[in-house]
Amino acid sequence: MFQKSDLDELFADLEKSHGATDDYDRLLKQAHLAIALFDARRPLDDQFDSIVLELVARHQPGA
Amino acid sequence: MPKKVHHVVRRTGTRLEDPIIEIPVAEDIAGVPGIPQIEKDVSFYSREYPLETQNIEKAADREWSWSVYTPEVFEYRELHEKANAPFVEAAATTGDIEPTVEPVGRDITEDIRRKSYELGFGDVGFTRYDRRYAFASKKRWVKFQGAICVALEQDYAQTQSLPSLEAEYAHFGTYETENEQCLALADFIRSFGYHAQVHSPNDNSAPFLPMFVEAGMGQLGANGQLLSPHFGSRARLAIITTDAPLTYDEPVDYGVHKFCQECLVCSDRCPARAITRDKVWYRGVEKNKLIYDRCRPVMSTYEGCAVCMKVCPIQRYGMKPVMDHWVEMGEVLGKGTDNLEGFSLREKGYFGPGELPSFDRSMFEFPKGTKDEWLFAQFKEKVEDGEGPTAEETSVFLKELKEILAKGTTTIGDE
Repeated sequence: MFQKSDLDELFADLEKSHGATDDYDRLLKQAHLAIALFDARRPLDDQFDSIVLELVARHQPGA
Repeated sequence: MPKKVHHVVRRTGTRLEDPIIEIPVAEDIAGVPGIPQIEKDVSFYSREYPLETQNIEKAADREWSWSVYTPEVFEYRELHEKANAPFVEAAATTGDIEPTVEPVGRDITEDIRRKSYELGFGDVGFTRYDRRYAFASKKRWVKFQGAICVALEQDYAQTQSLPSLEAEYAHFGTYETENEQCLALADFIRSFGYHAQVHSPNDNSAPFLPMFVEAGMGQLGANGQLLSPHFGSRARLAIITTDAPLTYDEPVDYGVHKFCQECLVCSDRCPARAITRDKVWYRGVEKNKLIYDRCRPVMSTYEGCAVCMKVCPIQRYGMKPVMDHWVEMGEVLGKGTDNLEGFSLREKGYFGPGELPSFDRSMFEFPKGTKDEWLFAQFKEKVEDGEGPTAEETSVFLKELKEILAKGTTTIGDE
C-alpha cells in the first residue's frame, strides 16, 4: 500500500514534469485513481495514460 | 463475487460532446430517488420554524472567524470580497429586470442547457423552486417558480491540497466565476422574453442542495455536500429562477444515501468530529447531521478545513469508479489508505488513517448566535457573576447594542 512518503514523491514528480501543462488535472485525477486501484490489488488497465502507469510503477511500495 | 446491480444511472458528461457515463448501483445500496423524506414534516418545519441564512442567525461567529484567520487567509478573503461584491450586488436585483423582447412561447429547457455548458458549467438541472427551503429573510425576494440549478466544478488539483490557502483560492475563485456565469445565463434567458433571477452562491435564498437533488444532479452525502456524479463534493452551486416554460428533471438514486453509511470516511476523518456516524431524521429528512458548533471553529482556524470534502472517495476518484469498485469488490475504494484519508493541518502535522488531531476545549469556545444574542449572553454572564455589571460595562453594552441594531443584518456571505 502506498505510504505518505511514496505519495509525496509520486505527486512531486508529476507536478515537476506536468504541473505547468493543461494535462495536469487529468493526469492528477488518473494518478489518484490508479493508486487507489493499486492499493485495492486491482489491475491497472489501458484506461490510464502511460505517464501515470510509469509513475505508479516507479513509486509503488517496494519498487 | 460481484454484487448484483439493481439499476444503472446514465448521465450526460460535463460537456455537451462528452459521452454518456453509466454508473451501476448495487442492489445492497439501492434506495429511493433523491433522499428519504417525510413531506408533511418538511412542510411543518418550513411553516413553523422557517430556515434562516447563517449570515444572519450565525452572524456572531461569522464576524469572529475573521479574528482567527491567518494573515494570508485574511488578506485573500478581503480581496475576494472586494472582487465578488459587484456580482453579488448585481444578482440581488436581477429579478426586477424586464425582458426587452416578447416571450417566444415555447419550452426553452434545451436552449438553457446548451448555453449553461457553453458558459462552462459542468452540470445543469431543472426543477420547481421549493419555497419550503427559502430562508425567512428571502421568502418574499424569490419571484419565479422554475429553478435552473447550475453546478460549477472547483479545481481538482487545488482541492486535493485541502486544508490550504491554495484550496481557498479554488473555493472562493469558483464562486467569483460562477456569479459572473450566472449573470450571463440570466441575460440569455431574458433574450427569449422571460424573467431570470440569479440566486448568488454568496447571497443564498435557501440551502440550494435539496433542489439539486430534486433535479437529479446528485444526492446528499454524509458530509452534508452534494455528491455529484461528475465531481463529487467539489461542486459549487447556484440557482436561477425564471418564469420561462421548462421541463423539470426527476430525482435519481445513485446509491449515495446507503453507500455513505458503508463508507463514512468523512465522519471518521473529520478533525472536529463534527459529522454524526448515524443518520438522524432532521426537519423531515434522513441524513448524517453536521454539528455546526464543532465544525465552525476548526473550519475557520484551518484555512476552511473541508477535510470532509477532500477525503470523500466520490470527490477524489469519481462516482463511476467508486460504484464500479463497490459492485465488483464490495469495498469502498481508497478507504483505509493514506492516499484517500491522509491530511495535514497547519502546525499540527500529518494525520494518516486512524489518526486525528486533538484540540483544547478553548477551540470550541466562540461567539454563538446573532451578534445581539451574543452581546446579551455576555452581559447576562456579568449579571450572573454577582459582581457586575458596572455602570461603565452597562454603558458599553448599550453602545454596542445600538451599533449592532443600527448596522442591521446582511444575507450576503458564503452559506
